[in-house]
Amino acid sequence: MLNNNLKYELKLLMRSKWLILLSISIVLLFAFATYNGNKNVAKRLTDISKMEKEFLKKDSTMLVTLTKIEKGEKVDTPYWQLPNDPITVGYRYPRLAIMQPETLSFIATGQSDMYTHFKSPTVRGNNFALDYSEMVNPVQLLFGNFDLAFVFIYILPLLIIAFSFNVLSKEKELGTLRLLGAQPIAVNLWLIQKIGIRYFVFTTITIVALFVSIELFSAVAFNDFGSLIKLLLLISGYILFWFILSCFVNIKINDSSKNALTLIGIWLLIVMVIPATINQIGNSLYPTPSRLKMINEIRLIKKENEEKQNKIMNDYLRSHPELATENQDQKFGFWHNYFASEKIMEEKTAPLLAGYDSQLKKQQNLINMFKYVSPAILMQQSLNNIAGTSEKHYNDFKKQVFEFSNSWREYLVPMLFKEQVFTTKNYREMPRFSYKNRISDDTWVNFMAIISISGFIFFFFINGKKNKNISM
Amino acid sequence: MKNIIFKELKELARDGRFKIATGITFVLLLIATITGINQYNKNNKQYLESMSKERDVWETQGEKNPHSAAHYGTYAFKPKFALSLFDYGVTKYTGNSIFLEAHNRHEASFSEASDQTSLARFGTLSINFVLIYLFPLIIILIGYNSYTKEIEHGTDTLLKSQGVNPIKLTLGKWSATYIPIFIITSIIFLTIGIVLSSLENLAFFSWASLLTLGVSYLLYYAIITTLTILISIWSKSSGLSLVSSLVVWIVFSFITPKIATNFANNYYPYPSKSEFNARIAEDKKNGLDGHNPWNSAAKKLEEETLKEFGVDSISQLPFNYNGYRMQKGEEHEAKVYEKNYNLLNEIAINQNNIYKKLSFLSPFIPVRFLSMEIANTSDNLHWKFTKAAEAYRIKKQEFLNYDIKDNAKAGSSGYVMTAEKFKKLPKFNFTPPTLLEILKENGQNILFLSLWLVLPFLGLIITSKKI
Repeated sequence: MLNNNLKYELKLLMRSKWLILLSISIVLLFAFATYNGNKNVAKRLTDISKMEKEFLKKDSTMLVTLTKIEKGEKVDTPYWQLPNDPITVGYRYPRLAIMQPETLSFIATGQSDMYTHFKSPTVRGNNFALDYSEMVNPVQLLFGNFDLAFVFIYILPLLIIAFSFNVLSKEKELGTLRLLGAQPIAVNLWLIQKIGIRYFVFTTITIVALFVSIELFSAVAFNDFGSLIKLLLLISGYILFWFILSCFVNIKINDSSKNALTLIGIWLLIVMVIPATINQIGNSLYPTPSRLKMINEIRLIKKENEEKQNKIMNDYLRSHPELATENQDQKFGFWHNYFASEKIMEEKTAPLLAGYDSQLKKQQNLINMFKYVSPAILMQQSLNNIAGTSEKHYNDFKKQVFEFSNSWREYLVPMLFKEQVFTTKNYREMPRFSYKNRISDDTWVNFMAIISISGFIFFFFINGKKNKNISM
Repeated sequence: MKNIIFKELKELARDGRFKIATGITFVLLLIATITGINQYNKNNKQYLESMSKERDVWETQGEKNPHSAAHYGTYAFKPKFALSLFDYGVTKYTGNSIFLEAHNRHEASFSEASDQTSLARFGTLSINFVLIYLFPLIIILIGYNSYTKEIEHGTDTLLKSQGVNPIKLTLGKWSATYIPIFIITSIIFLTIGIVLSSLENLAFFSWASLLTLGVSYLLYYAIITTLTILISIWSKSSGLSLVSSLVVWIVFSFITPKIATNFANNYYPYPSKSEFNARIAEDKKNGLDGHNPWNSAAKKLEEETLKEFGVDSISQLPFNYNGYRMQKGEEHEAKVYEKNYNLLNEIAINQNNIYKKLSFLSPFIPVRFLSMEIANTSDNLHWKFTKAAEAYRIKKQEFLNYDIKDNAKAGSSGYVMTAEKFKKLPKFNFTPPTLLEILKENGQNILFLSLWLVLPFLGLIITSKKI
């Protein structure tokens, strides 16, 4: 019977305009989304390349000046800009910390339109208060991008609904359901086979369309075979979930209009209402501490530090005896005081910053708890993870810049206190930044979760009903 | 026509789906309102506290050199507007405080969205979220089968045989679809008004703005109603009518705005922050540096000043030249910032114009923009705030530089301003545009909404004649 069903369904699909319409729609949607995603990545790469060029230009000027100084030649640079002063290097020649895009970054814009992908922390300025937001029209952030993630999460389910909402009810409306009931196959099984065939056809079209779009606009993605496989699995899982849901609604309701309405209602709930509600509840339950409060705190600490400058310097040298020279006449200037105060500032603001981390973590935990309620959230998280554009990636980038900036300062500041000059040798020895994607990939967990949810619906709501009569 | 309306409304009242959908929507509205009020109160309290603390920090900094105080700086905070509780607009994505210091124009930093999880990109459950996304769906639910059900039940021939005027029939069905939404929306806006006016420390609340918002949404719903009825007339079956109406809703609310984002990005890309800062640094380099008396612009200024006052050296000037040069430098830098930020603003306007031009594809866009504008949560308002903050920064610099110019001894370097004088700096104050100004600025959005209302309605009347 399966063979007959397969043959008949395929024939029906081949003859119907639906299949052509579906294929054209998916190809066009994917091609447009891939093109857009690729454009976004290209802009990111162009911005990075401009910065790198500028950085290399500045560095080569610095090296030329340093070499001249070492050779005792005359230089044109004013004395306060000479790079043999370690703090001048730290202030005027900061290092460039870059976060390069992943191979599959084009699939999901994620948070990449909001944050910068490079930072040059100088020795002056509070590392913890660095702003990583990028220049962007907020209206764009509000409406979002037309990328592959949008097509996968929002549009594919709608196409599935349109493709499968009346598989059973159509038979009823055409009056062929009774005839079907007379056949030697349970109507449920017949429906499952029919939906299964449609699932297979739909997934094949989707994967082919995806490959064609990638080949056309971002062929380099084929180099990252592992991530591509994960992507295909996720899409197949997500498509399966919607087909199973459609199968369930077909059995349970069995009226074309009502089926469509119910499925759209579920789509609305899963894709829009649940994520927006969880987000709102998360913000209400675990609001991130006010940045305004942080500004006030920093200002007050700065004010307090200014008043206690001498004591701060004494305490700083007591805890860093290696920085105090044996020279009794050691004079402390602006930078000495600055770094001593900076330490105090970091210590005093640490609890405040921990508050941000903790609230964000609580928000993330809340999502982790509720993400299983909506496969759309699971998909969004997985796609962002594969693309390397999730909030976790950007927070980790911030962390890596912070760590790097600390080690870079720790290299330069002792030179200030020991009154050492900066040389070409120091330039070669200086710590360099290299971004590592340290975020663990939970794609498999999310994929298994989507499959489990689908399996649960299938075995408890569809398979469990197979002995019940379907209204004819 | 009255009979048609009553009959349709009676049917609707019996419809379980309508009751469930409306029930769910009300629950969502309730959650949105409670969490919104909670957030508004919290944010407003923080705003008021921060503003007062920051002013205190400024006023109690003790005697200090005015230029040191200029670098010490102060903050301008964006107020929380009453209707932001209704429509969050872009406030999540724009920062709410700007650091004001000498020589540098800073941007608003620390947006809420950057402190949240990526779930924020799905949207936030606000009152506006429910009204702009979910209410059109209720309209579709009520109206998708208004004509197709007559065909499916075979009552269309009966209606025709009774000689019912087709226009009256259409208007009756249109009214029956729109009236429940009109009543529910009016109740919601009235409730929001009452709730808002009962809140403490509410800033810039006006009933006129709230009512204008209500009217904009009612216009949008009228458009959706017209389109839904029109689709129902054209469709062969209820299923097809429903699917077509939903496709229209998706194109309006999701696809067109997102396509507009990509077009805007391609045609008018924003520079990266670093690129923008580099351009400013380059422009600054070619002008007067208030700190550097040796650069050519500074030398030229010195010559001109000496000539103007008919003296040979700056020590003979009747004021402190350092303060004067510092102010002139600041004025040059302010012009550099103005030029570059105006270019940036131009890009933003061009980008927004792409959205607005695509309004002919989606009435969602003009109503979304209009809603943000009236609620004072638009990017346009944010630009106004940043401009006001910059104007204040320039005034602040003038206040401090002129203090050096007028009070420091010529040639001396250790001048300090008395602690009391810092209190004389006027406070930063930002007043949003009036409703009339907002409506004038949004002429294009209002025009598109009106066209969307009139043209499909005419189409509906013409089509109904052919039934």
